[in-house]
Amino acid sequence: MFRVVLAALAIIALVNGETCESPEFKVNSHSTRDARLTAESAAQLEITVKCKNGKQPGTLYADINGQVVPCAQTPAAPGKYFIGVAANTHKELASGRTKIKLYDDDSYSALRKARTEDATKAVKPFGQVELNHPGVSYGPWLPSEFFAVCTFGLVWWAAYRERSKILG
Amino acid sequence: MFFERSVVFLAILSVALGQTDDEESFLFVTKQTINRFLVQNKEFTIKYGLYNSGPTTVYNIHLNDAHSFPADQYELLVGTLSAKWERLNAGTNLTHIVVLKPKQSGISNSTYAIVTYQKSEKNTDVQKTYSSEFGDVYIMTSREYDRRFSSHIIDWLLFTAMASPCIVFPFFLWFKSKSKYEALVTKEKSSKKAQ
Repeated sequence: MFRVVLAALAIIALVNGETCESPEFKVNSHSTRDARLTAESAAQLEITVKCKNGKQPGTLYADINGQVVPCAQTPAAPGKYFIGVAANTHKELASGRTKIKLYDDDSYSALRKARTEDATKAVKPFGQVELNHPGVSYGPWLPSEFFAVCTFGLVWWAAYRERSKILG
Repeated sequence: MFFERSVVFLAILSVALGQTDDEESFLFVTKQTINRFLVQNKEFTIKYGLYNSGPTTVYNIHLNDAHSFPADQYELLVGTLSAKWERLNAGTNLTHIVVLKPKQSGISNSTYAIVTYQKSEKNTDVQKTYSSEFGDVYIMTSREYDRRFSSHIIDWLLFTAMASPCIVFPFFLWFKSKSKYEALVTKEKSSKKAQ
């Protein structure tokens, strides 16, 4: 009897220890800022996950534009997950904050099993991160040559006016 | 007649047998840069696209491109040059972005990235494939790029500073003589009025 209880407790401890609880995400977000240097827009998120019980989630999957894809990991830095988003034109990458849902192994398999739209929505994601894209810049609104021309034009016009007064 | 029939039979047989090859998936990897220009000390963004064509999932995908961008010529800003993914489902695609900063200018050539994957979870035979490459690229110096694209405000301010003696000095001479002349005219007028 005692052995059964011990075994049950061990299994419960093992199961609880496997999954990551109340994860905290630290996100490093990078996106294309200069539209003259680049022809398309791209963004990359670097996520570090900290779990309360010290476990790492294993594989994370991200929901990008409706498609759920796995996050990249690197052998050099085990705790980091990378998500890449690419857009064909600069306008396609929405500026501002975009929410990206994350799924771990359990929630991903639940998502795969869901057959209806409601069931898919009912799956609770592992977490959510934000992609912050400040937008792309095409350069200054008015080029500096415009101001130079205005300034020197004003000087010329003032001189011309005085000259006409003298001659006229 | 017999020859034609046998050829037709062989053709149908090869198509039917050939169908079994479609059970396996093949991973296509593209490697492109989204930069219009490559400039020294400015961001150099590379986009890797992985496409799973075919009906099955591929597993354990490793992408390695560290040999194309050695650390002494490129600084890694965002992303990683050796990435791995657990799986890629049939018909889906992945994007991986790496942002580098070229340290040197000149012509630099980059080769393809090496990608390895397993076609099934149980079968640990590793399949190797190569990405596309964009060949030789010219990295311009930051001076060349600034000449075309920077805002030139400082250049114009310097130009104004250098041009101002040519404008201010004659203006000052004219203004001095004009104020002297006007002072004389008002003095004459006031003296005439007094008389």
